[in-house]
Amino acid sequence: MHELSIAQQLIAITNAHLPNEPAPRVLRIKIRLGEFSCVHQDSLSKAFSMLTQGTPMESTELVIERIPLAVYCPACERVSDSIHGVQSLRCPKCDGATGDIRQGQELELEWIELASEAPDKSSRT
Amino acid sequence: MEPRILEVRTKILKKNDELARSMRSRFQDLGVFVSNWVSSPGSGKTALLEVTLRELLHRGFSVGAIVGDLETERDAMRLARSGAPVRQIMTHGCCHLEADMIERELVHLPLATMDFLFIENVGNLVCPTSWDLGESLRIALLSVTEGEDKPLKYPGLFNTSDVVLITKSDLAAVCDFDRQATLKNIESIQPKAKIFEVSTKTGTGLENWFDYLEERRRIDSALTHA
Repeated sequence: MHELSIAQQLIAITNAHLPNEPAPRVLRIKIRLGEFSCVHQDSLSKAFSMLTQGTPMESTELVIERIPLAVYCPACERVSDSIHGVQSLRCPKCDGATGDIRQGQELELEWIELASEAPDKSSRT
Repeated sequence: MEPRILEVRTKILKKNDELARSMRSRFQDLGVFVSNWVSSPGSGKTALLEVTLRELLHRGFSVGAIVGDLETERDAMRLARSGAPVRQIMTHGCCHLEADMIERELVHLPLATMDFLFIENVGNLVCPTSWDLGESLRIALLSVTEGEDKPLKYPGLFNTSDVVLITKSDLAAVCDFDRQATLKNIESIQPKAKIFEVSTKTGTGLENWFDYLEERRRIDSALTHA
């Protein structure tokens, strides 16, 4: 259940990015989650909602974009989808084995959406 | 006013990654070769680590270990029998080790004079995968009793491992261990993985393993101080 640790980090990073204004309300948090990130999407959502219960982020929506796996084949010199998904990393062109993952390990916070009601002081100046 | 979007674009485990990176560079500067041992519970990590510590001490190296478990200091006590300094991390429920947990233990180890530091992760094939601990070598252990399809079931760990140690090879025949299928499965997840088949009980394959560790440390050190 390492998703709990990941959700804790996610909340910490979000808090660190909040503007210095009274009670900013976070509507949505968008993350990019690779197919090969070893993170279970539902567990992460549950961990996030568990940790934010009773906090200002209680109703924040976690938006998760799944990023498909892509591998690099040194023989064909190209990046492509792995034919067998995450269970066997092989080039679709030559069927050669490759452990070189070029996409699909993402675990990134992309953006935070804040509600409009708090006046955005920075944009007024 | 419209809702506002704050672009962040950051890795969620950035804090861990940054600390791990700075620890790795510190280890390399001090000439400490660090490995992170990951496997399911009961694959024989502690037994193999104990003989590894003994042998490297016998070969004249200064070694140390940090071992992670949910509870008890049993593994640290077992490893300390080798004579090496050992620190136990009790995670109290946390399923993996993180870089800051390792960092806290470093002050208790004679790092400046150490040649090898071994980190025995919490027994788990999934959760430790995402956490860089500053190691130069990640080792996945797979015992012959676990079945040859483990690399396919847990591809994340096997893909990120430099070495796969197939342990308890003395039980291979009893378990109808399919060697070819295992090697093929490892290859299909990480063709570059270096594979050793060992038995702590009979000693099979251990010399090759110890020699490899020594050689890896020598190469790592030559690259760092070139």
